[in-house]
Amino acid sequence: MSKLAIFGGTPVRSEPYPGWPTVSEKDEQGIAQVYLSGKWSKGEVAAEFERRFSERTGVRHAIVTTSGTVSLEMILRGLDIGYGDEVILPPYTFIATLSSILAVSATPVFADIDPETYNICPAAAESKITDKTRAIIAVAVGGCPPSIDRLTELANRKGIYLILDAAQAVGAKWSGKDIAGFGDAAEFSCQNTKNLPSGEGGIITTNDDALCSRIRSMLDGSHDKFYTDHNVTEFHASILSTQLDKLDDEIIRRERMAAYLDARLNMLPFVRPMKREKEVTVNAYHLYLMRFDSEMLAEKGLTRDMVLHAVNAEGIPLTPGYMPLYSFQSVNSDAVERMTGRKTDTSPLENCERASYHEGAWLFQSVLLADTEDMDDIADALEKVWENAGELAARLGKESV
Amino acid sequence: MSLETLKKVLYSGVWGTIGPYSLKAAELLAKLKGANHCLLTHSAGAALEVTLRAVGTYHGDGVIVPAAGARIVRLSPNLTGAQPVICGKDAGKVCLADIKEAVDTNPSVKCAVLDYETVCELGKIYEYLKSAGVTFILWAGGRLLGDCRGEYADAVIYSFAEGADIYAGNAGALVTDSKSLFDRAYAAHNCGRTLGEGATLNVDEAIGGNRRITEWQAALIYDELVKLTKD
Repeated sequence: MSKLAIFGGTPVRSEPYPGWPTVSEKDEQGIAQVYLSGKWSKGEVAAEFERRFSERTGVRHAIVTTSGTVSLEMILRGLDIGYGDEVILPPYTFIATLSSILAVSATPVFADIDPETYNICPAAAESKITDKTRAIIAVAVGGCPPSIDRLTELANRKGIYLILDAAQAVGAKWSGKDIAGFGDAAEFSCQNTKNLPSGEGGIITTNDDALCSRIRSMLDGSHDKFYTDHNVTEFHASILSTQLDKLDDEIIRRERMAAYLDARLNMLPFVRPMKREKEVTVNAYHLYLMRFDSEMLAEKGLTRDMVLHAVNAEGIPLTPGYMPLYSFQSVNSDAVERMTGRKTDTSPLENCERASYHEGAWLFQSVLLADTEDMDDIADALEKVWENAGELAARLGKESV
Repeated sequence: MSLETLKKVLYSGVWGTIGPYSLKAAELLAKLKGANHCLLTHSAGAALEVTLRAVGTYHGDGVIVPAAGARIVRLSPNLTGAQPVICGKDAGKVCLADIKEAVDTNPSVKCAVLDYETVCELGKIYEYLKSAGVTFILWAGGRLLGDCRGEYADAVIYSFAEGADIYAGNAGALVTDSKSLFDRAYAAHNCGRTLGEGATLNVDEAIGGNRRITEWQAALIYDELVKLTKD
């Protein structure tokens, strides 16, 4: 049994995983062309990217914006959601899902997540619907689509909107169809770390002509109430276009490596890959999520954070993931109450608590752009930690990691 | 020069999320305008919005806006749920008397946003608004090189869109002497995060969206500002 790196042993891995973003000559040529054209805004490059994204996703409209966050805000405004309205969201997500609701002065209502996928639980969402509910924002956590069929049925039955926060899910598919085409609208992020990066950026997709028209009018200042200048430059659009050229190859690679890693993790007793619903035909894998069996860890005197500490020392960049949004001090602040006119219910939700504090962990997407031997390192490191569980618990337990 | 700078940005892999050019360009612009703080955003409209959020305008608050002037200024209160309080006449400039009337007749007024193009008696208006406890935001648009400076208002908003003195495709800036206003605006533009040590609020206290500038835009602004400061 080899000695853990955290206690001075040799780490499983010393090489870093692939970095992100990746750059090619095409990116450089695109940027140079825009620069030399002198036309740096409201131009053909952005329009062409929108046409191309619309075509590849099979959705009638694609609108490029300055971020995923503002895209969500614009969808909410475009659906006339605002002060006094309630919007249901999962608490296991980036803060933008919440801040977009608050930006339009609507009230966020948290619904628990599914313990096996970490996406919003449709039954939990249904239990939170009131006569003030206008929409559900379903997040594709890590790039894996949520239960779209059940959520669509629920939204239709209750007469509310379904919005997909697909910030991490560009290229994901549900029942063979791009996630961009589900719900009343979907949103993607093109922030620097995302699978389709442009530094900052976002994309709205919708099949609703009227919604598209309202959103475009807010962008160009012709809307009667809102003028939101979230217009991108042609530099943004150029990078999006050239990065899009390689997206499909990268999706295939991430899926292949994730399947390999799934198989390796399934052989370990204390950790498992996330459940993938059978309708998920492509998981975009912006993150590779896994979950620990907290009871099994506890039997060995371990916590998730002890394991992560030891695995990190082995050279594996496994991180603990999201804190519940309702646990942020700011959600209970006077400012939020002034925004919405109400206190937000911040009661803890069981599955989210387990995911955030005891079970969830993830790897960043570019790890999956490596090879099978690099995936082996991840599983080997976890296996090594498990083999040394006794020593780890004894020594780290005293330090209260 | 700028094309080389853009290539540097490209190969650095840092294209956004507040990279080195965003910080350097903000520092230079603050210096150019003789102000303590500058925040760069993806558009001038975004800079105005985060400033309104930093001031703390919410549903039910009043925000004075001019009857004439940039549409983005006139509609800006709606973004925070506040109520526009229209001031001045359709074709005319806003004067001190108009402002006094708007403040006197609207006790909910918390802030005024005026367009440099459609306002007169700037100094007097600022003095009056200060005494009335109303925050004054001045929309300077693309006039980066003129005399439109921070001493006229609590915050000044500049644009880098087409037609502006410095063109970066699109982008905006908030210039202010107020540290607390800057910190709150920074959090409002960067998902609630604060900037560095000495911030006047904790990261947990703020909610914010994303109004960040990219490094593409910031690099173009930076190169122009370097040229200007050399001149």
